[in-house]
Amino acid sequence: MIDALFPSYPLPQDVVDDLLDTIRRDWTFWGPCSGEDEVWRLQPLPEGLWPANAVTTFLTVKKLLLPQRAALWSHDQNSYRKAGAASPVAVIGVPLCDLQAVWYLDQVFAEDEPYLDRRKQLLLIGMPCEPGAECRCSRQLMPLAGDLFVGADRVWALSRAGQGLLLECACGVAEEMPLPWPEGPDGQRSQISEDLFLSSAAASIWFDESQRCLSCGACSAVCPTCYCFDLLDSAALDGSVVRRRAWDNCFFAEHGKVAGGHDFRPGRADRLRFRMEHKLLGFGDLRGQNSCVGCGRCRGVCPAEIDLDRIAEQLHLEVGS
Amino acid sequence: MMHDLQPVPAVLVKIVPMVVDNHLFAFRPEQPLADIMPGQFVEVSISGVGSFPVSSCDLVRDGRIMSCIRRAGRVTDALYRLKEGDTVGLRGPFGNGFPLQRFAGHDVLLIAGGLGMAPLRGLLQALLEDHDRQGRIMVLYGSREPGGLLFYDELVGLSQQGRISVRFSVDFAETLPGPHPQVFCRIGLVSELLEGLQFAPRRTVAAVCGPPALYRCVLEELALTGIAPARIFVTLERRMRCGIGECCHCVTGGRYICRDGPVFSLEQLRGMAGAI
Amino acid sequence: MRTTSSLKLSWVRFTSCSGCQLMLLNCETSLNELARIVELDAFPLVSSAGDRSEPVDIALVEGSLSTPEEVERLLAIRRHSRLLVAVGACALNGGINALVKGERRSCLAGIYGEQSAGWDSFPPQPVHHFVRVDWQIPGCPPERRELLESLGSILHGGWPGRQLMPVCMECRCNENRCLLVEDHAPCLGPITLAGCNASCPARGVPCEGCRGVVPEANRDELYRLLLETGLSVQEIQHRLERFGGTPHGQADR
Ligand SMILES: Cc1cc2nc3c(=O)[nH]c(=O)nc-3n(C[C@H](O)[C@H](O)[C@H](O)COP(=O)(O)OP(=O)(O)OC[C@H]3O[C@@H](n4cnc5c(N)ncnc54)[C@H](O)[C@@H]3O)c2cc1C
Ligand code: SF4
Ligand code: SF4
Ligand code: SF4
Ligand code: SF4
Ligand code: FES
Repeated sequence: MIDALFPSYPLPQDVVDDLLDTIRRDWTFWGPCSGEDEVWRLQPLPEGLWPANAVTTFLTVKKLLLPQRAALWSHDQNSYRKAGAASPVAVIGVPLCDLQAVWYLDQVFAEDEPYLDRRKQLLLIGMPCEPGAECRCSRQLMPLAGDLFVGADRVWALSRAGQGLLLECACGVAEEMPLPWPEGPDGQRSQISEDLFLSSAAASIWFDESQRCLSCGACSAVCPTCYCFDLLDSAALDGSVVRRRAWDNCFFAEHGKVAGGHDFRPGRADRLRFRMEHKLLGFGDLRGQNSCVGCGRCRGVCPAEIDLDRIAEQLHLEVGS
Repeated sequence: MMHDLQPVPAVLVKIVPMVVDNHLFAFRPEQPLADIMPGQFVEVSISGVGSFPVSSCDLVRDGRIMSCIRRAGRVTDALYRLKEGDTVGLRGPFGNGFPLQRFAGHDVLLIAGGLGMAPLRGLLQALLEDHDRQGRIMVLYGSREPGGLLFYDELVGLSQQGRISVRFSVDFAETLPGPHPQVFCRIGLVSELLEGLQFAPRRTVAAVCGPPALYRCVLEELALTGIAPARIFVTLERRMRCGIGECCHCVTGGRYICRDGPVFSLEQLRGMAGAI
Repeated sequence: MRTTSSLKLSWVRFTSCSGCQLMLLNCETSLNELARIVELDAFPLVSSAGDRSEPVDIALVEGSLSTPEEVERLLAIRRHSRLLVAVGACALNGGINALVKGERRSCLAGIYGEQSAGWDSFPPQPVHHFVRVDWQIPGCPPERRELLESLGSILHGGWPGRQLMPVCMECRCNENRCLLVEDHAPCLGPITLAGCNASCPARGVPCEGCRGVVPEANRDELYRLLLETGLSVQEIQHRLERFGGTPHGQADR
């Protein structure tokens, strides 16, 4: 699975054009765009603009899969109606780490209809990236999701849908090949073991680091694998109601609180430790699967310079052995 | 199983005031939900306001789901403003529920604190209605004050019929509850009701539900009496939003309490950091 | 389930700029619907009639209080109102009015001259200092969406749910460039209650904190970050105090 081979085809320019046209028939293209403010965002692409390579955009494709405030249903006259369907989008220029993250979300939401409805509308097209200083990805970490991977002169089919598109464009003869992971820090993701984590409950690092946390939520907003949510209703004056699913964050004051005021994660230190547990150890059936794909986004946006990799390292020093 | 997070409309068919701000609510969903086992819970939606999880406190009868709900905050407050005949939404059932087969052929000890009586009352109903059942049922139930004891008359009635034995405790009281002078009630902690209780630990299964403080004092004490930790069942309360193992609010010891629980054995809880 | 069909509503104004009222009137596309479900008992910006001290379903209270007469009036309104909602920064924590510092009498004399000598007044106070407040709608001015959603939820017998989180979360979710981290601008987003969709930072204007302080705010760390922006201790103090009177959330139930 980890060093999986995918059918790969040569990709001459005329085939690129063909492929694009084929995709444009059914999907709207989204891709990384940089504004005047130098923030890279995933946006609808102007016609004919094709990204040169993948970019770790500010928010990831998570914003299309599990939108920040997405309607689940509406309620009127005593009947519940499923929210309107998403339209088909082909996202191009997705880096490999983000494709891994989509695989992870697919596992979490495998039985979630609203998620799957959106998922089915997405065509994910990976591209090679130029690793930045913050990048710590690892091909060993987990499988990846996606449909196509478009390299400089080859294209890989990652899914049946991708394969179908390539066959339609007569791409020549397939060869089974691994994906070209970027040169650079393809190494070990930070890991902590269950034992190390359990014995770290009283470690001073949680307190020292979390003292600076502003609970601003930036780290989970940008994280491609953070998915916790709240459910919120909004009622219109005509009596109709929409329930939305909105991104949450385990640093927020009410994440572990119950009526009556008891808080199961009362301090910032508990919350940082909970975040670390979720990222590096996982919850439920995914326990043991590290879900930090090493994209470096959280480190980049944190006003308090909190860095899970550094914390993991220090945890090994403070508690390990 | 697929989830769409969409409730089923349900009529609030009956409101029975029990104790101040702890009323019984009976809901009849327009389409029947899957059967609700004792210890499982549903999500009640008051659209335009929000939703909350609640256990059922009875077996489902004639398609009616019964819950004892405390007025505890924003959404439960709105529920208390509804009238019989109004509609709400229901999702569920969620969670694992009590493993009823493990209670068969055993004496049963139910220990509840406060509102913890609600899910245990559902379990009690299931035990009482299992006509093949052998074995005693003992209920130890603590509350802050005599007026807060839920299902008091019903429990006393069952005890007078000899179907269960029951002991109450209250944190404070000027007069202990009547009108049943023969009722066992003392001032103190519910864990103290274990003192002098005659039972055969090896033949006993226990179920406990109450606020976090109750678990800290009761569970290990119960294990000391000799009941195997694998036969002590506990239902956990956590903040819950989705009920299906996605939203992460309920996670404890790496597990989704809403899906893997909320009922765990003490043996399981000992392996779950932060559970008690 | 809609539990109410018509609401008798009274808008009550104490010391304020009337901006909160204006926000509701600005909800042009919803005014028709509003008129259908609301029977106005008083609304100073709409009509000079009103405040008949009749029982109402809901009183929306704007502004801060600074005289005994105002307190009397507020108490009467509380008695006549099934629900009382404090609207806007002035009503919630004193707002801009409460910025007046110093000895009261000399402050008054400084502005109104000798005529103020006999006046009975005290420093501006928020509404919850005197009466029970059922719901708060923060902001200076409050958000249209929040005003409408609160009225919408009342029709269903409750209050809308909201996430008690800082403005930063909305700001990041909208993929704005961070003014604090990238530009060292003195943005109060990290400790300010969200709900405004980070509308100031989205326009390049640092958050002023008008929605009040989020629960469990980490003021110490923000203070440190504000020092790094080059503000003096005094300037930071003023900035944090402007809308920071009381943490939000006490009337949340
Ligand atoms: C498995 C389970 C079974 C329960 N059974 C019962 C019961 O039988 N009777 C009863 O009265 N109460 C029960 N509760 C508690 C009940 O869910 C809370 O009292 C209720 O959520 C309070 O909601 P609120 O909106 O009024 O309060 P608020 O304090 O305004 O809470 C806001 C939201 O936070 C969440 N929340 C707050 N407290 C809790 C909590 N204790 N548990 C889960 N989510 C919470 C809810 O989603 C709630 O809507 C149960 C909770 C769980 C987890
Ligand atoms: S580096 Fe940070 S943002 Fe990226 S996957 Fe890991 S935890 Fe998430
Ligand atoms: S790490 Fe925290 S913020 Fe991220 S998904 Fe998990 S619980 Fe939510
Ligand atoms: S980005 Fe940093 S300061 Fe903000 S919540 Fe995450 S860890 Fe805390
Ligand atoms: S600009 Fe202000 S509100 Fe936005 S993320 Fe930065 S500090 Fe927060
Ligand atoms: S309630 Fe959402 S994960 Fe348990």
